[in-house]
Amino acid sequence: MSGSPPFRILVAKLGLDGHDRGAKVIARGLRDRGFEVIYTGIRQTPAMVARAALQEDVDLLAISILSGAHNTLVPRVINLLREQGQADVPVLLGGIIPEADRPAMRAAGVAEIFGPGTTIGETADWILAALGRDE
Amino acid sequence: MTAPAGPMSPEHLAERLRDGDMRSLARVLTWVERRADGFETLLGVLLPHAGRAQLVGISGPPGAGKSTLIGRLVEQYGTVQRVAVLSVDPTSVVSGGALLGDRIRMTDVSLADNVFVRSVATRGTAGGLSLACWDLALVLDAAGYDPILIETVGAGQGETEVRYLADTTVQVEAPGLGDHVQALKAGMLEVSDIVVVNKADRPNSAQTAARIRQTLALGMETGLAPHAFHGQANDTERGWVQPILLTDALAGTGIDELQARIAEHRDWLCASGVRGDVERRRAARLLNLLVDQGWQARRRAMLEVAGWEDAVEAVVVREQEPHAAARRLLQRVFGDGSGS
Repeated sequence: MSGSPPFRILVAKLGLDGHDRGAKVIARGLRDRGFEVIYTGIRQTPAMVARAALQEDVDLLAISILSGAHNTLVPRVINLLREQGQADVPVLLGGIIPEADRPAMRAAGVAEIFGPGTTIGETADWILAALGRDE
Repeated sequence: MTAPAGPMSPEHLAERLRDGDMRSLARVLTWVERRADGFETLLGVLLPHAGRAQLVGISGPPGAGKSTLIGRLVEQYGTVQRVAVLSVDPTSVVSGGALLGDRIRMTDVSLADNVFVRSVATRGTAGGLSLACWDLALVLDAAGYDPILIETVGAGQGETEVRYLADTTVQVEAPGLGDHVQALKAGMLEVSDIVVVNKADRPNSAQTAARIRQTLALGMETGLAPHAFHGQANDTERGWVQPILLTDALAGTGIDELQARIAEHRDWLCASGVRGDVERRRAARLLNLLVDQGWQARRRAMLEVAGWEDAVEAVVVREQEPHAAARRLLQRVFGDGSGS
């Protein structure tokens, strides 16, 4: 990615679960692939995540959620992004998202869902493709 | 992305910033940080609106509690005025990426409408700041944020760049991070305006503060009082004695006192006339940095022509002594005896 400025990505731990090993691995892994990653820390509300995305002017939002509250919380974040003029920011979802919930998540505006077992490389490649830049 | 969306003039954008539109501000910061087309024009439009804010540098070793302390300060400022934070973390020299994690300690204040927090990666700039920080601070200043708190990368011994950008510098230390000799070395401690010993709940915090006080007192005796650089009268002679404060950022104690001292330093800068020196120093440093940047790009090409590769090879095989090789290169570039 030399030459052009690095993409900025917000990795957000949405909701009340405190298990952020996965989010941290993703944050560090994307850093290793040349992204500037802003990590929110755990227990973020939809408003906090949206505010961070706004102030940091991120190119992409990656949400990690393991609590099962995604059906409620993720659409709230996406609505806030739209309200604040960031409808064009792709939203990725990682963590435990049951197959049955995935269509609803996509309908709400989630661009892609990555479950357990996804490699950093796959995620990074997807992001670069989505943001329109090949390595 | 280059410019903020829409056919918006720099004047219009500047107005949006001053009206407190966070989206415009965030995009302008990106625009300026990337030095995208038109950024100089935009900075020129913002320039007359800047110069009011107090820029406060917050430095200290990793883990001293800088981010938590800033979170507390912002909590207090945010109730009465617009306050911004520029939080700098290091870029990986290997990947060019960065993990910016300072927001984690500031979540209590992240939703206040008076507060704007922006994470910045160093992107190859040494000294604990990103070169872009100078421009970003100007944008936040023009947008009406005051104070602007600038958190450097975890630092303290060599990363003293922030003292040139900031009006006021706060050095945050914590007990248990080093022995007495660490305090005797050098770094931000001797050029900061306010010293904070955070984690005051720890049993040896008073001892740490005492050691710092001794070190600074020794500096006074040997004539090396803070800010005695550039041959100017030092700050102590002009009436500012570095306070050493104890805080416990997690519990929120000592924050009032720190806030009061930061305000006091600003008043002193104005009353003593030192503010003018600070502004001159800041302007000269930024110009110097920018000229250096352009200079380095051209330098490379000039050295190639002067026989850079051969010189490297000669040093590798120990045929030439490095100092002599460097001098010869400079002589070829300038065609004279410079470089001696």
